Amino acid sequence: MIRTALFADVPGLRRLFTALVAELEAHRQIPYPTHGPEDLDSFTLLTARRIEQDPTLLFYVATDDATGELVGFLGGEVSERAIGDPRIFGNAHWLYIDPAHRGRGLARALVARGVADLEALGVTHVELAATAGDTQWAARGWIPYLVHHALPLAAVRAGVAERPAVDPTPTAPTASAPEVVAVKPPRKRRRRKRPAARPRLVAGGRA
Amino acid sequence: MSLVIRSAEPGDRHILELLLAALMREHQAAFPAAYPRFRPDEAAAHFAAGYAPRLGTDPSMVAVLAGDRAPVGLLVGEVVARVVGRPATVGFVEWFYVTPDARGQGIGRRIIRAALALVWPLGVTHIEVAAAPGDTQWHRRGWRETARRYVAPVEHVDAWVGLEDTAHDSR
Repeated sequence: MIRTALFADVPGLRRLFTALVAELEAHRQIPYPTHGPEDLDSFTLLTARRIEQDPTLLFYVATDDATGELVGFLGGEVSERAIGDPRIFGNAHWLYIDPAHRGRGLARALVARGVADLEALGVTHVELAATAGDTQWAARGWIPYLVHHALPLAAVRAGVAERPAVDPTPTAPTASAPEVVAVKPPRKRRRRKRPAARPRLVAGGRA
Repeated sequence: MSLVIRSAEPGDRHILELLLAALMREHQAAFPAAYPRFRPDEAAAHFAAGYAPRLGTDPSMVAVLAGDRAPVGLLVGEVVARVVGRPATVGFVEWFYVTPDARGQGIGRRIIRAALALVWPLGVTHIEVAAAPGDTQWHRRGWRETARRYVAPVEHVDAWVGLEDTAHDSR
């Protein structure tokens, strides 16, 4: 069964979120940001505070028809950006189905429920974030519009460390900055004896 | 050229607006299909008005300007906290821009150095940026893609979930 999440579902949602994070950490290409035990508490607190309280929160659960146990969930919200079109949009955060219950269309059923509510609210677009290398959304026709990058602060510092400026597109001849190149130790050169100067023709010939 | 790199102050609202508008116009010209859509002048005025009262008073706000006789570059970012995931606080670069005629002189690097000096004491360990797909400058500089945001019209999602195919979603 697919239904809106209730406050009583919070323990079950915590269990599913724990499984989602474990699966995510095991499979994703770039382990950033990481998740620890404290994040389970943060998720639990977030859901407990807002479920059945905040009308912008959209949380749905899939339950086992026989046992009533939670086997999947979709969590998101209706968000509003300060400026830009569309101003209001659906913001999907988490979609997870217990591995033992996959292949039955539960994810689609959860999404269908969420979409129905978004349409009723007049929302025209849905956004989501996928981990790097996850191509399933592009394969389904979703359009990528923003790529997130991260770098340790120390690496950013190293990347902008002071070094000579080099203009990649000079418009006028300028004194070029010294290039940093691999330097080999200079080979010893044998000094050749300079030959005796020959008389130069200055007038009536080449200087 | 006597370039000055400094933190923005409340009185710099119009400089912020000027540079943000130039950045947004250039970005839209480079990425005409960028989402979400907004009008550069309107958006720049909106953001500058929002930043101005926080400048100099809100330590989570980082705004650095570069200028000689005219403003030539800026970086605006924030130290933000995520609800779930670690690091919990990161420095997020919202806007970074150097005017075209001032590029290639190391001004961007100087702006970033000044911004890093502001967030370093706050215990920030990572910096994040977001860019349009196809903007490869961050990748070239060694930044790693961590996530990608997607959008779809609701009717597209509706059509997908209505498909009666046998290969159900496994997630």
